[in-house]
This record gives sequence, structure tokens and C-alpha cells, in this order.
Amino acid sequence: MQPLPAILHRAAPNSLPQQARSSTATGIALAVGAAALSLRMATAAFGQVPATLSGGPPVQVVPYVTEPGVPSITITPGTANPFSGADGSGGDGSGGTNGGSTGGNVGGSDALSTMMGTSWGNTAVSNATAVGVNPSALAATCVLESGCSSPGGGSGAQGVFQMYPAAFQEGLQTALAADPSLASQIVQGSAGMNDPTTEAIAASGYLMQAAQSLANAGISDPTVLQARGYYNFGPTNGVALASASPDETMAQAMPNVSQSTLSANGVTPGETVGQWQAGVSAKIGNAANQSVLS
Amino acid sequence: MKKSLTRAGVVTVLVLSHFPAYAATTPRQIPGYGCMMLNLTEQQSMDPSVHIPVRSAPSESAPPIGWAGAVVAVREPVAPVNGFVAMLFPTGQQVWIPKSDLRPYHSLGDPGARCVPVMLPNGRVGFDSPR
Repeated sequence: MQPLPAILHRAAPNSLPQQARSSTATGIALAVGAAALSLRMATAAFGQVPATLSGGPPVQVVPYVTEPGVPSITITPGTANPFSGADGSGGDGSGGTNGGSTGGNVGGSDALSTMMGTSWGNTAVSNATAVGVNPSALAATCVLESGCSSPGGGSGAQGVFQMYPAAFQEGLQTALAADPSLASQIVQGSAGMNDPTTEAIAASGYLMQAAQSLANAGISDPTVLQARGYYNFGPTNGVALASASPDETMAQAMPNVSQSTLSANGVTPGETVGQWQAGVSAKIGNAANQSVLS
Repeated sequence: MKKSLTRAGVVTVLVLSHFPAYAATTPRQIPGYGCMMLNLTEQQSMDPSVHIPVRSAPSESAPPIGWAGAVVAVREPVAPVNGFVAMLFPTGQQVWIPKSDLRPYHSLGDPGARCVPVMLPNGRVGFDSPR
């Protein structure tokens, strides 16, 4: 065991060398002069500060005639370019090294390209960004759940994001709290679960919840892979998966989850956390280790 | 209680100083700590609205630090202080959780499974099988 350091360094008051304290009148005069000079220089430097826009970015041109075929784009100042990577110019998304790493990167991905290929993909990207979620994280969710295509009616989970009613409602509330203007795009009632644009808003909100929940449990800046554990198995088990060694089995890592529930989520007996992570990563590619949040 | 807190803090520092954050490449067991799990049903453990808070001190009035995961690393032997048990947060910080929120580690999906707290290669506290 490493020994503790023998000396704890602490700032001592009045610990200036004696020489520094024995100032003379000449020294004081020089100090006053230097201070005056530096103040003058500082004033000059302040004059060179680039102009800032106190009211935010310049007013954007808002077309009053919509052009058919052009997607709805909302630019939120300070957030990542929602289309980075779609044209090959964005980040490569090759961030972390394993499922236990934290995020820290946002960019294009194969999953994002898949979602962008749908009729609702562009709007979903814009809305995810408005909520504060990395569009690649949203895209990875729909790729994993349905391949971003409309699945048949299920017993409980519905839509391209395969959300259950409770998660759908919670996700919507979180998303609307982040950006109330999204309310105008929402299809009301249970029909919203089968409207991709509405469900994408709810899924973005749910991913935001996942990121916040994991962060509250000590998993800062969670990755898409880590949020996947939350999405499938809930908050306490999501943390457990993010804290598990890759060699642990899924049943070991989440002791509160029965084998029947694991099987219902596609987890085979004896499957390790590392194997599960590799399986998820194989489906969503370079989105796996990107940050959930944009 | 204050003396106990101080001793717990020193133990944590000694334990964690044994594990340089980025030096290890494989999980290394954390001596003096064992696994327990949250006292939740399967349904509760998957419910997004269920959170078990952990606190900075063994008191209901102490500020919450965050939420506990399904498995926690508790200091052994378990010695409750004011009904709270000392545990390690994933960041390595020592926090406190009500003993009533915990039960012994037992996997529903793999009844023979065992668990040990480890320091993961990424510098966070995690869990592994005993080796």
C-alpha cells in the first residue's frame, strides 16, 4: 500500500520572505508608477476586446413561403451542428475505448445516416438538438429498436422507438420542459406513439432523462452504450451495467433482473456485459461511444 | 459519530490511494469492501421513477450526493451509523445509504453468482466476479 505523503502543503499567511517586506519609499514609488502604467495598458487592452452581440446571434431570415422538399431546420445557438457527419464533414464519432468510458464526443454516425434516410429523420435530428440530445444517440435508439422503420403493432411497446406508454409520456414531458415550442409538432393521445416525429421527441426526452439519471449516479457524460442499459433495464440497472466489468455476466451485473426478463430483452444465459456491449455496438457502429448529450 | 466518520474517510483514502486511476489495465479488487444490492423488486429496479438517494453523511438531513445503482460497494464489516452504511460512489467518493435500502447480494438470474467491488481501468469503482 502506498504511504501517505509525510508533509501536507498548506499556504501559510505572512509567509513572504523578509526581504520582500522591507520595502523602501523608492520601492513604493516604483510600484505606484508600475501600477498606473499597467492600468493604462489594461484600459487600452479592453478597448481591443472584440465586439459581442448582447442580444445573441444575428436575426435569421425566416422564409414565409415554404419550399416543398426542404426540411424544417431549427438552429439552436451553442449546440452542435445537427447535420455534422451527414456530409462527411462532421466528427468521426470514434470516441471512447470501451463501454465503461465516458462520452465527450458528438458527431455523425452510420445510425444517423439510417435515420436521416427516413421521411421524418431531418425533423427528428432538429428536435433532438433542440432538446439537447446528440442526434446520433436518438438515431442509435431507433436503429436498435426497429431499424428506423415502422414495426407492426406490439403488445405494449409501440412505434419506431418501441416505447411503452409510461416512458413515452415521461419522455414527452422532459422534452417539452427543455423546449416548449416542440408542443406544436406533437400528435396528441396514444396516436402519438405511432407518429415518428412525436415519438422521436419523446425518445429524445427519455434519452435526456437517462443521461441525467446516470450522471446523478456518478456516471458523468454517459455514452450511447451506457444509456442503452438505462433504456432497456431502467435507472438502477443502467448504473449497474455502466459499472460492471466486461467479464461479468448480465445476470451478475443486474442481480435484480430475472433470467426471463433478460431473455425477453435478447440476453442469453451466461452472456457477459462485454458480449452484450459488443452486440449493441455492432448494430449502431460508431454511435456507441458518443455522448448522449449534444 | 464524528470519530467514525473521520476513520471512514481515512480508510477510503488509504484504499483508493492503492489504486492509481490510470495505471491499472484490468479491474483490481478493492480490499475492505463487499457487494450488496438495492432492496427493490425487479419491477422497481426497472422503474424510471424509482431512485435511492445516497448522502454525504449518515443522516436523513445530510445533503444528497446522488442516486445508487442496483449494486453497491459497502465497507466491511458493515457497521451502520445512525442507520446508514458507508459505500463507495462510482467516483470513489464515500457516501452513505440507509441500511434498510440494502440486502445481501443475490442474483435472481444466476443464483450462484458472486460479486466483488473493483477499481475499473477507467478509474471508476465498479464490480466484477471474484478471481
